[in-house]
Amino acid sequence: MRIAYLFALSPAVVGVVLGAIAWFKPETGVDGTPGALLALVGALLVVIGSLLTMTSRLSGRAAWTLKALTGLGAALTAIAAWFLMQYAFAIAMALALFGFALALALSNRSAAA
Amino acid sequence: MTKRLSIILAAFALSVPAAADQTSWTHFHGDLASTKFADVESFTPQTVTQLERAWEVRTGDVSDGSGELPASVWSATPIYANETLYLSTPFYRVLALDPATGQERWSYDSQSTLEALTQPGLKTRGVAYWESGQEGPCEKRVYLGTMDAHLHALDADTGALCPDFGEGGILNVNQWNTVNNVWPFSLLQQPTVAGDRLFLSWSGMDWEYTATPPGNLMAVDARTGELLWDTGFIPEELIPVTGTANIWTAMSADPELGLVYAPISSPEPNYWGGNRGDGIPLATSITALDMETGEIVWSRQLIYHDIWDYDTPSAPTLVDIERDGETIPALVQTTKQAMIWVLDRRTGEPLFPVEERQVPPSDVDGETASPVQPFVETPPPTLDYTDFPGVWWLADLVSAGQCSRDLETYRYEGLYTPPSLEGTLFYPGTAGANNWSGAAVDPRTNTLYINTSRIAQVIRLIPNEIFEDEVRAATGGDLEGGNEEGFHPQQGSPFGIEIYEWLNWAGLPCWAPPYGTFSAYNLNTGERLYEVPFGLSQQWGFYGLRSWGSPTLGGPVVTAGGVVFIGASMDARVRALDAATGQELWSDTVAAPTVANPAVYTHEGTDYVVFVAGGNSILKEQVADQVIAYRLGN
Repeated sequence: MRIAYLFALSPAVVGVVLGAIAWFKPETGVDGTPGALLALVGALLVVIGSLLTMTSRLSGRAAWTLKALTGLGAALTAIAAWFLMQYAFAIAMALALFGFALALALSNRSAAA
Repeated sequence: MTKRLSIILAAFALSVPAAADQTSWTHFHGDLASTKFADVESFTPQTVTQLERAWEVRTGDVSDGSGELPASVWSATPIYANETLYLSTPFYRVLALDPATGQERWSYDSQSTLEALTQPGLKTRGVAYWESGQEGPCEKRVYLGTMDAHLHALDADTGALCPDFGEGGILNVNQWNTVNNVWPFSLLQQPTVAGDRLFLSWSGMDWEYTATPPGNLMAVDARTGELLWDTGFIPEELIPVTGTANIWTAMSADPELGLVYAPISSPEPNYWGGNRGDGIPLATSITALDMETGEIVWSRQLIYHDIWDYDTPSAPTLVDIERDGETIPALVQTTKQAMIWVLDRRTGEPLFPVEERQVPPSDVDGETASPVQPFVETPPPTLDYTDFPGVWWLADLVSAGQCSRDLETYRYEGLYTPPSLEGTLFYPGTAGANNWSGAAVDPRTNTLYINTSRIAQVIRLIPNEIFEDEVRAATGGDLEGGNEEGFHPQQGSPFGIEIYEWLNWAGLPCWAPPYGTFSAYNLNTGERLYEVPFGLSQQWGFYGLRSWGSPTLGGPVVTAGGVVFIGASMDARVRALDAATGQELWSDTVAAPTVANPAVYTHEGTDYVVFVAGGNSILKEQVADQVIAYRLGN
C-alpha cells in the first residue's frame, strides 16, 4: 500500500507550488521573508520525505524516523503557513499531514494482514 | 418665478467651487487646518468592499541601503491640485501624474546629492503647491525641498524651474544656517503655504551632537524666495551650548486669525539637559506665530525640560469645538507622550483641565529634571501610560526569563522617568505613541480618529570616558546614523546613549500586547468612543494575532461617507475602516508599509484614494517605490 503515500505527496506538491508563490510573487505580504522561505523549504522536505517513504526500502528505526520527521514537517509547515496568512498553503499541508497519517494507517493494516 | 430660479441656480453655482475644493488635496494634510477630512460621500461602509486598483506607478527611486545609496524612507502624501497629482520621491525628483491613470505628465530631477546628510536614509514627505490666481507661466508652482537644503520652485504645468524664485528657481536655504551649522537645513517636510508665503522649517540629525543649529521658522515670499522673517525659539544665551527645538514636521495655519501653528521639537542633546540653564520655554511646545511678522503670539509648552526626545511631532488639527452653545476655535495636538491637547487656538488656553504632577527626579550627575510635568487626561490619552503592560509571558517563556531579568535592571517609574546609567524604560518609546501623521477629524461631528503605537524602548546613558570602549566592544566601533537604534555620541555632552527596543533574543517584544490601536474621540465632550487593536505585527514574515495589533507610522484620512483610510501598519496593508466602530472593512497588500497619510481626491467626477508605499526602517526593513490609487469598481 505504498501507493497510499500519494495522499500525502499530492497535497505536499501543491504546498510547494503555493509556498513558492508566497515567497516569490510580489505583494503577497510575505514575499522574500525568511518565514516564507522556511515554509517553502518545509513543504519541499515533506515532498522528499513522502517520496522516500514511498520508494525506499528503509526499515526499522530508520523508516520510523523518516516517517516521524515527514509527519512533523507537514504539521509545522502547515502551522507556519497559517501564521504567514497563506491559508491555501496551510490547508494543503494539513491535507498532506492527514494523507500521510492515512497512508501510515493503511500500510500498517496491510502489513498486519 | 424664472428670476427666483435664476437666483437659486446662481447661489448653487457659487457654492460649487467651495464643495469642489473639499475634494481636492492641495496641502500635505489635505487643508491648512490639517483635518485630513475629505468631503467625499461615495466611500461608505457598504461600498468600500468594491474598491479596486485604479492605477499603480513604480517610480524606480528606491534603495534598500545594500548598495551605494542609503536606504530610502518615503513618507510622502501626494498633492492633488491643478487637476494633477504631484509628489516627490526620496531621490528628490518631482512627479506630476494624471490623477485618473497615473501616467506621467512631467518629471523634474533636482540632481540633489543622494547622501544621508542628516537622516539615516534618503527621505521626503512630499511637495507644496501655490497658485497666484493669475494666468501664465509659474503662476502655479510646486515646491520641492531637498536634504541638502535647497528649495526648488517649479511651474506646475510644465515642471520647468521658475527663474524669479531664488537663483534661477532654486533657493539655497542653507544661506541662513549661520550658527552651529554642523548639518544643513534639510528640507524634508514641504513648506506650509498660506497666502503668498511659504513657511519653512527644517530637519536635523538627532542624538549626535549637543551644539547644533538653533530651531527657527522662516517665512519667504512664494514668488521670489525673499526672506520675510525668521523667528528663533532658543534663548540667546543658550544658543552656543544647545540647538534644535526646531520644526521638522508639518504645520497648520489659520489665515482668518493670521496665525501659523508650529509644533516645536525638543532641544539638543535629546537625552541630557544639564546645559540648558533655566530651560527653553518654547521647546516641545505648540507655538502660534503671526503670519505677517513672525512674532510669537502664544506658546504652550507640553513638556518642561524635555529629556525624552518627545518632540511635538505633527501639525495640530484646527477644529471648532461646540461647548454650551458656543463655538470655540480650537486646536488639537496629538503627541508622542500620548496626551491629546485641546487648546483655544486664539490664546493657547487649554479647553480641558491640565494638572501639574510630580514626576521622578534624575539620578544622573549634572542633570536636574523638572520636578513636575503637565498632564492632560481629557480626552483620555491614546495609550494608558499609568498602566505599564508588564512582561509578556510568551516572550518571557521563549527567552527562559530573559525579559523578567531585563526588567529588574531597568529604571522605570512611569511616564517621564529620566534617562539613567542603568537604562530607563521609555513607555511610550521615543518614536512616540503618536507621530508625524497626527489625527484626522471629521469637522461635521468633531470626531477625532487616530492610530497609536505601544512600544517600550530602553535608553541608557553612557559616560563619555567609556563610550568609545562600549561601542567598540558591542559593535566593533560602528555608530548608527540619526534616529536609528544603537549607539549615539551626543557629542559635546557628558553622555552618549544606547537606544533599543525591549526585545528578547528571538526578537519578540518583552512587553505585553497590543502593540497598536486605533481610537476615536468626541472632541466636544472629550470622551473616547472606541479603541480597537489595529493592524498586524510581523516578524520574519509571520503575522501576530489580530488582538496584538501593530506599531504604526503614518496615519488616517476620514471621509464624509463614514470611512477611514489608513496604511501605517507593519504588515504593508492599506485598509478601510468603519469610522463608527474602527472595524476593518477592506484591505489590500501593497509593496511596503505606507508611512504617511493617504490623499483623497475627486477627479472628473470619480473619487480616488491614493497611498504611497515607501516604508521606513523605524517600522520595518522593507522599502518600495509604489504609488497606488483606488476607486470604486462598477
